[in-house]
Amino acid sequence: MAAEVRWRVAPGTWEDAEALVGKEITRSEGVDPVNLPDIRRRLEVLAWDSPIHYDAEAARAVGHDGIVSPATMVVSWCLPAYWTPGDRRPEPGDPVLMPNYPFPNIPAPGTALFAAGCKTRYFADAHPGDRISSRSTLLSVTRKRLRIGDGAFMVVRTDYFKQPDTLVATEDMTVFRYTPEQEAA
Amino acid sequence: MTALSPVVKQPRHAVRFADVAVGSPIPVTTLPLTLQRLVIEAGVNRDYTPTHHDPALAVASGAPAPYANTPMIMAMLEAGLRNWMGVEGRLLELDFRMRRFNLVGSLLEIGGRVTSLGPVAPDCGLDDGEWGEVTLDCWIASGADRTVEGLARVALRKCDFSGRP
Repeated sequence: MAAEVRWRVAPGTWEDAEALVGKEITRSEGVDPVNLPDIRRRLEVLAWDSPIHYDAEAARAVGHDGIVSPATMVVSWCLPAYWTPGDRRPEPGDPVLMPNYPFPNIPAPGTALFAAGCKTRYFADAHPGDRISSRSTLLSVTRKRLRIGDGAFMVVRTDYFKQPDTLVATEDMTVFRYTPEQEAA
Repeated sequence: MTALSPVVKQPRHAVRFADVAVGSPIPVTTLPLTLQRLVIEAGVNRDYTPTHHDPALAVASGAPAPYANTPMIMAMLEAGLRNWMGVEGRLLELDFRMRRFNLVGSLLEIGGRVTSLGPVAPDCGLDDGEWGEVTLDCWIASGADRTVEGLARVALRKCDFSGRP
């Protein structure tokens, strides 16, 4: 029997969610700095051959300060650790590990969510050694009943920074948070 | 002893702004989405949500099978664009919607088509004398279905670093 995949979503009402519109909801900081082994493995899994991501000389030849991270890795550079020294040991029956994304932290009805779309603007490159952090703000809550259940589209804006305060990217992630139809019945 | 395959080096090509015309397609990048590749990908992007690599949990969640997560979709779109534009271009924006799951077992095709050419936006930090902006429709397809659709903005150089076109 399969365990359930559940986001540990913050419970609440739609009024709770709407009250957070325009407010910062979470901050995050990556567990590791931008680094060459992780960039190499990003290229490996997609069989992606672009010398600016592995050859410093090739990257400098086109105006970069050495090897540059793929722009879309900024999301992963900002994820915290799933376990750190001092945390308790895993035990049988523990809930599955879920990434620390901002949207489950918004108090609202409904236990299920899915990503519907994402718009990211990239302003600066990240290089090995950079530390990536983020601040997320709730932009909007739009109530909607879909075939799969009653819920709302929520847009979360996440600004990604590298030290000290350089904006690397701004991401607007649209997520549908809802109560599955069979649960409501 | 089997001889090792020769290393194939990607030519360090670079598409320039003047090389691009509205309506031009970009070369398609393909990727067979095996379960092994989804597992490797989870290790790369660190989103360990089990619906992306555990068949039983994916089905229990309502999906037909494990499917690619958002960071992988972003990276596939970037890789498709980078394979086309080469080493010089800069990614300025990706804006996409997920239309269907990118399911394990599919042969994904990452594609795009140029929709407009113009000056770079002031907020991108690039000199508009040296760079031009290209907007493209971009997508991921599996068979006849578009699983992801969106647009991308990239900057391409108009001239080399000494100012020669």
